[in-house]
Amino acid sequence: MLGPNGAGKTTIIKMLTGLSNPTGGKAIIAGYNVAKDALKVKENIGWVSSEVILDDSLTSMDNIWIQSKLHNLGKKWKEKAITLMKYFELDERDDKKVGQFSTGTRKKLEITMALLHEPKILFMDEPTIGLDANTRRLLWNLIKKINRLYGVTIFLTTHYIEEADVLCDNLAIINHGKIIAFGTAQELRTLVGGDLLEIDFFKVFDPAVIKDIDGVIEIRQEEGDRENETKTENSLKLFVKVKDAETVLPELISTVARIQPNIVKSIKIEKPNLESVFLELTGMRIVEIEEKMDKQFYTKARR
Amino acid sequence: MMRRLNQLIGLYIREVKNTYRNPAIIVMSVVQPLLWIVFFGSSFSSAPKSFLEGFFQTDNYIAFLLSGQLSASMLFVGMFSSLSMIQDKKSGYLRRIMVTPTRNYIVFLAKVLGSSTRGMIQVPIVFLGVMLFGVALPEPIGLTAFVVALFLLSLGLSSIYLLITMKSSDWQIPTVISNFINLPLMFSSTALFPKENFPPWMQIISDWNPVSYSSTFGREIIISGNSISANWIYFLYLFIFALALLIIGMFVATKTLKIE
Repeated sequence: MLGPNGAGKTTIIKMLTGLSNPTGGKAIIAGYNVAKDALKVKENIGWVSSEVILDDSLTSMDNIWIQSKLHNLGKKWKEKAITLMKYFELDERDDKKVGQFSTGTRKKLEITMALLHEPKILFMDEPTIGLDANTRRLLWNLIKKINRLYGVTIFLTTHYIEEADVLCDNLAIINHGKIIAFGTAQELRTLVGGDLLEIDFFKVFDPAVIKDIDGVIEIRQEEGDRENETKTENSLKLFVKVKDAETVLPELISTVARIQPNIVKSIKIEKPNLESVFLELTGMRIVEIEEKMDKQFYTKARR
Repeated sequence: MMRRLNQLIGLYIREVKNTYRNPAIIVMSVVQPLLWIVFFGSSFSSAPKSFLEGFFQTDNYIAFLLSGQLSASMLFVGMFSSLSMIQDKKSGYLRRIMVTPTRNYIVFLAKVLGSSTRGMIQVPIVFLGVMLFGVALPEPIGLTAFVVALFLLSLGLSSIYLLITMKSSDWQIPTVISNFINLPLMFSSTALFPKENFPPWMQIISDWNPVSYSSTFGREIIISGNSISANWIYFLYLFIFALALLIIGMFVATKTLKIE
């Protein structure tokens, strides 16, 4: 589930894991209704948090033992734990408190705990947030391996487009609490229906002059909160959807140059990807939405 | 049933292990009531025997104070249950528990049992300490009955604290409540002095104060050395107090315990 911060990803996970009740609708997880059979749902799911949540004052085995008790695993818990720990390259004899472990190791331990009771569905709520690039890639490989080896369905939320592209067989894009697109990454890319040119101009001009160029599908001016933008009054940003960027671009530049020379500041070509899908669907990039929300938050906080 | 018991054991053992997280805190929480008894108890050491026997029914004020001080310290132990719950809310650990098939009341029971166990750690140390001041240990049945009475008091008081902070994550609340109710409850009980000299309105409060039940019950056992002469109605009151608050707490936890 891909979406910017504040889109409702964690709220959905809370509902699907039986932590909060939906105000409407119905959700079935592993064959059970989340509102009516929350305990049955919880028996069948595992959960990995965005910020690693463990009892830092206990050892890894203590943490796993408590988890096994909460899932009533019986005597086989240790055997299962050791198998998983070996798989994730964790040392089961390490009696250090987990608070002393690196974030990557703690994350591995959390995944071990989430898989201990062999859940049907594993919920991962922004599992790589706050991790450095290396640890993030390590975790991506781990997630792929878990999915392949244990056959567990993984429900993962993220606001990283690359992560969604790399990890997900199916993707839902969420914005303002609503799913706005669903499908494989390939299916979603087809929604864009062409390349996207993001062009910054030094001066304002009438975009109508380029609309008749062969291959131009759609022209859109940058949306956003004009009052809070830092652009100069005369600048202009256009998103131009075209059939093929390489073919259209030379004619587009020469047309603009004929009317007003030297006004193109920068051009960015974007082949269909999840970023352009999101932009196509919402009119804004994920990072722009997050920046806008941050601004609103700080404005409110100042009041 | 087995599942719930396993969940309770898992969470309870976690609470107990967390008690030993910082040995310095354990040492201080054990030594503090002992110091109280030694210093406050010694304040009457030079008083005439006739006065002590007339006023306290014993010539050793430390023997009189022992059960009261242990009972009063359960008031402060109760605070640990709510601090532990707030810690779990803040760290997100409560969420870790609540995405497993663990019922809310199991979380509540584990916290209450954990903090009550923590309160019990000081009891044997304090008893050993006061023996140096001439206080004799009562016979085993009496001693066990008093320890169980303290445990019941602690269960009830921990439940009250948890009930108050069930919906809150504010660190200040347990401390503020502790300051607000602990001292009045201690001074309006028979923990430090017999109630016979209290004004009538304070005697009424004392009669409804569970700290008084435990203090008086324990004192009768310690001074007489056995449980035969103890008034077991206080033990029954404590049992009802603990049971009622545990039931209310379990019910409230089921209905209201939520992550943020």
